[in-house]
Amino acid sequence: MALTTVREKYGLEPPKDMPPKEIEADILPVVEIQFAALRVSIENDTLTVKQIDAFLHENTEAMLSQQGQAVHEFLLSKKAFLLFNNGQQEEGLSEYDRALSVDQTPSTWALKGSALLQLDRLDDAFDAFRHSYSLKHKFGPQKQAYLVDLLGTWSIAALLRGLSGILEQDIREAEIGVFEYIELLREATGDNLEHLVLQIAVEDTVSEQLQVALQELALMVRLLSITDPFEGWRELTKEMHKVWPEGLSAVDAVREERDREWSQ
Amino acid sequence: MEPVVLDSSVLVASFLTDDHFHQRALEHIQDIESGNSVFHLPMLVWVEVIASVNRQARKNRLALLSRAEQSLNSWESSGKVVLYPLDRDRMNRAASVAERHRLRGADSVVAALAEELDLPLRAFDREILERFERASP
Repeated sequence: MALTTVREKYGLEPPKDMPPKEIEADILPVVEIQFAALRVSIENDTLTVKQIDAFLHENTEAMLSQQGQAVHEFLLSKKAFLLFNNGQQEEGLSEYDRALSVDQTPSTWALKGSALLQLDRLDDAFDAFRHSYSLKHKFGPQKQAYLVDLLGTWSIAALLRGLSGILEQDIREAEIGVFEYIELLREATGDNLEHLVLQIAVEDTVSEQLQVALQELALMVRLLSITDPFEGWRELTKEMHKVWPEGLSAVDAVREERDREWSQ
Repeated sequence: MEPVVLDSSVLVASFLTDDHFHQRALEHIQDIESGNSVFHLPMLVWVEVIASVNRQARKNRLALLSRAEQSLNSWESSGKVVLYPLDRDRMNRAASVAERHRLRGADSVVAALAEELDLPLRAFDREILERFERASP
């Protein structure tokens, strides 16, 4: 079942969208000199697809310089964002790819990831978020704000995928979400950014079914975070003690399986 | 190093702290942890362990199943567990063991692997222990 459907079914909040890409401060003077007409629209955030197309058509050569490329990438990414949010989703995704072919910027990868997330293309979305995070050194002066949004959106999407797997009793789907979350938390921790990763909180304001599922999600994250298989087995032992039927021996449990297997 | 064939009951007992055979089962697990042993398992055993968790866990089923599978997969990848499919030859061996030792079907599959590999069988099931001479707890 698609994540959007599961979210709606259980009344879960969607991951928030990434904010629109902002032009880097050091590009603005270039725009001021070479492309003055656009500066007002960029600053007022009133750029239109038509305006971008006309501008790019008229300034093809200027886009080839190093600074021109930065403007080019920004405008294509902006166009992608406008198209996608205007319902032209496939066209928007194509423009994100065009922007990334001009320059691999972490903000455009993050926006593409957010768009893919809205389309329930979760594997592609996580891939885009990973690309974005791997390029985080290129975020520029707005790095902190972008990282807050990227890690927040990425982690909530991973947890939602894990949670939807648990709610729908789909173990593989739950594992994919949980492993994505564990991996991103590991990377963020390595960069001292773990505080930006969403943590699982079980609030008593949600339904009992959701509370139980969230508790299982938290347990799954904890158990699957253990990389040593023996340590993992020992933790499994502690948990099995809580849920195994009292008085049922291992021999009887296996015998029950065998009687069932061979009598069917 | 003493490689052994393992019955499902040993792996299941290893995660049941209240089980009569828990300590003995833990010793077997410690043997593969320390590199002193390798578990040779019919694929059937793997399935039975997972099925036991799946059937008996009253809550947190997916989290527990996933953890069990992750450890088993890791043990197999590192060579601490070796798995054997039930092919035609093993089917014939298991049938022969069932006839000779009056064991049940699945018990015979496990016992036949021990006979094939010429290894001891570790099991806790009384019937297997009584009827199959290679078996011990």
